[in-house]
Amino acid sequence: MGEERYNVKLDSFEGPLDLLLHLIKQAEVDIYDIPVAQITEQYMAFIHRMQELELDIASEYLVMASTLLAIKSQMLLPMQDVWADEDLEEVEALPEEDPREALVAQLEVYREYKAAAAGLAERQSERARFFSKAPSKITPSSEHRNEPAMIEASLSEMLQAYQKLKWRLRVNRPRTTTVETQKWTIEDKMQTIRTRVIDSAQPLPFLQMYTKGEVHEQVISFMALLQLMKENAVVCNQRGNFAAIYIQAREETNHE
Amino acid sequence: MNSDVALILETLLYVSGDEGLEAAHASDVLGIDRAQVIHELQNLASRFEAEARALAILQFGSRFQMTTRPEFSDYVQRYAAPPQRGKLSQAALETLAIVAYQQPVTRAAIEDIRGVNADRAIATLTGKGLIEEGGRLKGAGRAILYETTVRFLDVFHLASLNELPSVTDEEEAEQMDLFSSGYRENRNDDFFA
Repeated sequence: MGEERYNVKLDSFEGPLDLLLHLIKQAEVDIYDIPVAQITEQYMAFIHRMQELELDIASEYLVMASTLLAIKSQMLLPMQDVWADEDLEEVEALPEEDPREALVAQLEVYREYKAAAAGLAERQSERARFFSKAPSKITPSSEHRNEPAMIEASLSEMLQAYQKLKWRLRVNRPRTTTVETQKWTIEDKMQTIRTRVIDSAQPLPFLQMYTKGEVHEQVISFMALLQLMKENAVVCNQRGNFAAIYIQAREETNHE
Repeated sequence: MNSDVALILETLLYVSGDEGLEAAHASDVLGIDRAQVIHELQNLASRFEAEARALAILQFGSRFQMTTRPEFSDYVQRYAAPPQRGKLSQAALETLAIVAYQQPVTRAAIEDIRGVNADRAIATLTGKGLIEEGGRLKGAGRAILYETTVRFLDVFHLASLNELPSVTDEEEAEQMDLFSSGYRENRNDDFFA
């Protein structure tokens, strides 16, 4: 049971620095005066537990383990003044360099950004209390004005458009649903899209490509579209930032 | 004429919905200066605020959006149960915070701060349109420099990056200033070495 609890915790650490902060907080010690021996021991116990649970130990955790061990051994070394010669009394005046310094600096910066991340999350939920409507369904006026050159949409733009599409579908989804045992294949969907794109005299708007259907079908359709893009069968265009993405057959552009 | 401009902008705000009205676009439509459009839209926003209308106008960058007021969000939720926009993972949020405060910033610099590989978080944030490539480092490697997008401002309710809350407590501020300036110097050395 203890192991299971640990397992849940393993997932919740965002890396070695996060784990270290957790251990320091748990030990109720000052971040500027870390008891390295104690913290290193706990850190190593954690690494061993990861091994026991046969988790992939990310290299970052191992790098941190060796850093901790290096600091620990450095702190075990005798102090400088043991060797201080009577002839060299200035040596004592030199500030002692704390081997923990670099690590503390790193932890401090990480802690800042962790706090900043929490701040962002708060703003995000605050923002969710403002509601807006979908844009009115009218033809974009950009077609009547000076049009910028066609921009070929990149993969990341397509992914963004897909995120937007998913959001719209979620907003428009009816409250009730019927479960159907239909199966789709990428090949079928590729054929469907190819036919629709070739039959259509005009480029098809991406957002109107799929207006209904369940998530599984949408994903298959989207993958089919990406596959068609990859095979150069279709090309996706966008008339500028934030403009709608249009799908058209590759051959048509070649004729121009 | 002046009141017409305000009314036209209000109309365009309504029509553009959650896509937002881009000041440059509105400036084309109305044939007036972009800076003046922004000024008019900001005036309109304050007027909505002063008159305590049902709707509010939000600004993010040079984009404006017409929304409901947060005071009434409970009623909207009771009425419509709107779907939640996807919450970001802790890893994505931490990465986004670093990009927001340090931009433009490389993947290596993000990884130095978080102590873990940032590939996945960067891919997620790019896919969600919250960060984008803002250029490349000069010198060997020409690493990608990441920046936040206008959409980032929208999602986190910021008119501009200047509105990002300060990261540090006032107590710690002085100490942290020394700290982060030293840190930044180190970073720059790494970057342009």
